[in-house]
Amino acid sequence: MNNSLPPSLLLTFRPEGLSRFFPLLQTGVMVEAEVGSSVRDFLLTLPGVDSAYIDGRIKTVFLNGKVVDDVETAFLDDGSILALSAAMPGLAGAALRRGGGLASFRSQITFPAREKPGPRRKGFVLIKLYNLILKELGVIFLRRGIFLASAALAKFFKGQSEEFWVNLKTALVNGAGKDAKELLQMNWAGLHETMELKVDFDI
Amino acid sequence: MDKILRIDMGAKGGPKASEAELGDYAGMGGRGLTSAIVSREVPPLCHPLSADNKLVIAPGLLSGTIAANSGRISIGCKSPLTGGIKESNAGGQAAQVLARLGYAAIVLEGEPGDDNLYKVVINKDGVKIEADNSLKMLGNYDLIDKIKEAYGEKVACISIGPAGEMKLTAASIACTDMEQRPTRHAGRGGVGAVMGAKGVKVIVLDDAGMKMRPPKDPEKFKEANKVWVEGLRKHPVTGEGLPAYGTNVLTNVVNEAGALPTRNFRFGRFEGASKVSGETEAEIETARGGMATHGCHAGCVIRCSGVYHDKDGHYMTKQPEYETIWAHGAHCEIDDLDAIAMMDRLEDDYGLDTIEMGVTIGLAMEAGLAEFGDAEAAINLVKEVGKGTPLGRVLGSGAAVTGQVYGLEKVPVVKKQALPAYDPRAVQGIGVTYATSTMGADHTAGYAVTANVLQVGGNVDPLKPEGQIELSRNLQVATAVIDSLGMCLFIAFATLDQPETFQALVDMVNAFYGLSLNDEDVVDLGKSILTSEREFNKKAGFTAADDRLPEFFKKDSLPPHNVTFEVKDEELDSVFNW
Repeated sequence: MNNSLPPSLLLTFRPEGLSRFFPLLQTGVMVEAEVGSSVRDFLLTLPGVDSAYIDGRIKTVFLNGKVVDDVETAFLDDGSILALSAAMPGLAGAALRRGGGLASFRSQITFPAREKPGPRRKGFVLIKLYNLILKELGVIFLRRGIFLASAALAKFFKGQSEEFWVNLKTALVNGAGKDAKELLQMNWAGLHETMELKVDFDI
Repeated sequence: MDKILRIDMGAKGGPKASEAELGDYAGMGGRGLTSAIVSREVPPLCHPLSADNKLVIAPGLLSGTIAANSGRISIGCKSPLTGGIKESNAGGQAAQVLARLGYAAIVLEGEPGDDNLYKVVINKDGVKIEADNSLKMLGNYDLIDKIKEAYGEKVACISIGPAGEMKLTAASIACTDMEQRPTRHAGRGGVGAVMGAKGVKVIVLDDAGMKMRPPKDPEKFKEANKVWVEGLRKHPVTGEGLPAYGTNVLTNVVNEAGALPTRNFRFGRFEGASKVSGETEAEIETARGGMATHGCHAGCVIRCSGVYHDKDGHYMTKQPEYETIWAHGAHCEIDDLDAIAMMDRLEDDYGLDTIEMGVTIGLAMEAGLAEFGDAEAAINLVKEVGKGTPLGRVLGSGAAVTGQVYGLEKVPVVKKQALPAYDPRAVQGIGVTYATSTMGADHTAGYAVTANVLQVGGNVDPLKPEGQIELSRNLQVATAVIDSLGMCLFIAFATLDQPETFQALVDMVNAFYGLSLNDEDVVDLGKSILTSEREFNKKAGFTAADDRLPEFFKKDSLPPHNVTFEVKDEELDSVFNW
């Protein structure tokens, strides 16, 4: 077990490469967060995200798989799983919407509001992004940095087609330049069990 | 749309068509009209495949006009699957073309006295009914190719595949889309079997020389339609989410909620969900040269459909919808989108309900006919249905029959119709609708339509669990109205959130027909449709015991939230107390 800080991998891509990261973001990635903060406060730390965006755009929120009606009284714990989506179609989509008119349809899976959060401190939460939110916040989280198990990172690289590598402009591992071939051949697990991945796009 | 076309398939000397005034059916359209005709003219105790049953095909009240998204067609009969009344509706071109030809409905009656298979051709000059046995057992795709050769690329078709000819209770009726592909199906309830029993393979609709239906007040109608279109375009669901990802945008979200029925309703989450999600599907479609955004009929501004290509970039099928992806995906633990798209293609070709078939394949896996997750085996099971083998005929008879044949206890059906893609233990209000709908388990029977605006039965606090009965009632009433207008149900989201968009819909109806309907009239219309449907079902032998979910939903808790269905029977019995 290596307790040192995870190594960082900084990638720069052409904008066309963004969608290749969507599968990762759908299944979930770890990000740093101030645990003990509300979902709203956490989202407000993201560049470009304001209350109007949270209330107007992020209409469906899950915390640990339960439906959140009030982002003020849903607090993050270390290891929490937070999933974000826009408004969804269908009867179920309407029922899952936060504070929606059909909330009673799913009261058994509603996240219970908490009045007192735990103390605020640095921690990690697993973020899952869906649909319109995936496109809009995906770039922000990738730029800010996500944390991945080294094995997952290796699998991610191995699963990519030629198109992915064509869109890669630069790669730095702890500041040292690498090319596509080196990224594919690198023994990531030997470096550390976790990697911090930051991705920038020419957008 | 001031006449009804009746075709007596059992007339002396061969099938005969006649036209009649609307009479008592004036002012009705879509589901309102199909359910009225079936309720009044079909003996509730008749055999669904007998001469006494009638197949009623009706465009909505606003179909054939410039009203955006008014292209749904309702198909009604006594269902061979449920034994009760059925209205199943579809998109595609048929509603608009039939309405422009001036028909409020086509009613297929009687049964042919011979073994011929018939083709019905309707155009501005009238109706022709011809025996054409060269069409026998053709798949919908080959059938439409032949029709295209004979009648050109502009006609719309309503047809059945081999499943309908075999009178299987999972058989659908296909309607062609804008590209003249047979991809839009009135899927539920075995309506295709009734068309097969009438001996009709295809109805060809040619509206050449016909014009858009004129509104009574053209200016007001045009203005209301403008507000209507703006409302649909500006709403994030109808203007962004659905166009970008289609209905399959729900897979990830319902999975996260723990409400995605997996491995025949054992679990609420599917590990492979992200591999078959709408987000992934849209990426694949775009990368292969298909389309992630596409309308199913002219005049659709939501465009929630798409075009799915195979790995070589050739057309395979239309974008499989959420329900299809779920039934063949999570329910069968298959995470291969290409395999699911192939099953969608085959089922469209054979003319089968994709929900009923997907659920049935999952049950076949439960019975040991294939392993869960085995995509190739699943495709082969669908092919058995197309071939009409003894096994295929069992599977093509749907989930309830397959469950019975293989001695399964956990069979997810209500009124013998397979449950759609939301586990009623996680989202219990949907369970109320599944249980009590006149149609059998049906996610579209109680849609998120204007319930808050109409407030049928009073205000409901959305955050209190006890509001579910009232909300389900409101939704079922509102949905019956929308189904009568020919409107796509996806308009629901814009009308739910934007009062001006709902008002524009009412204004369009009023301007078109010269009426002054208010909210109360709309509610009364919905209630009257449901009342007539309930009455038919009662006479057909349905009781309160039929308004129940299968027992295992009350007993088996659903991971990850470990919930059971808790709505009491007496509450279910109060849904239609008005």
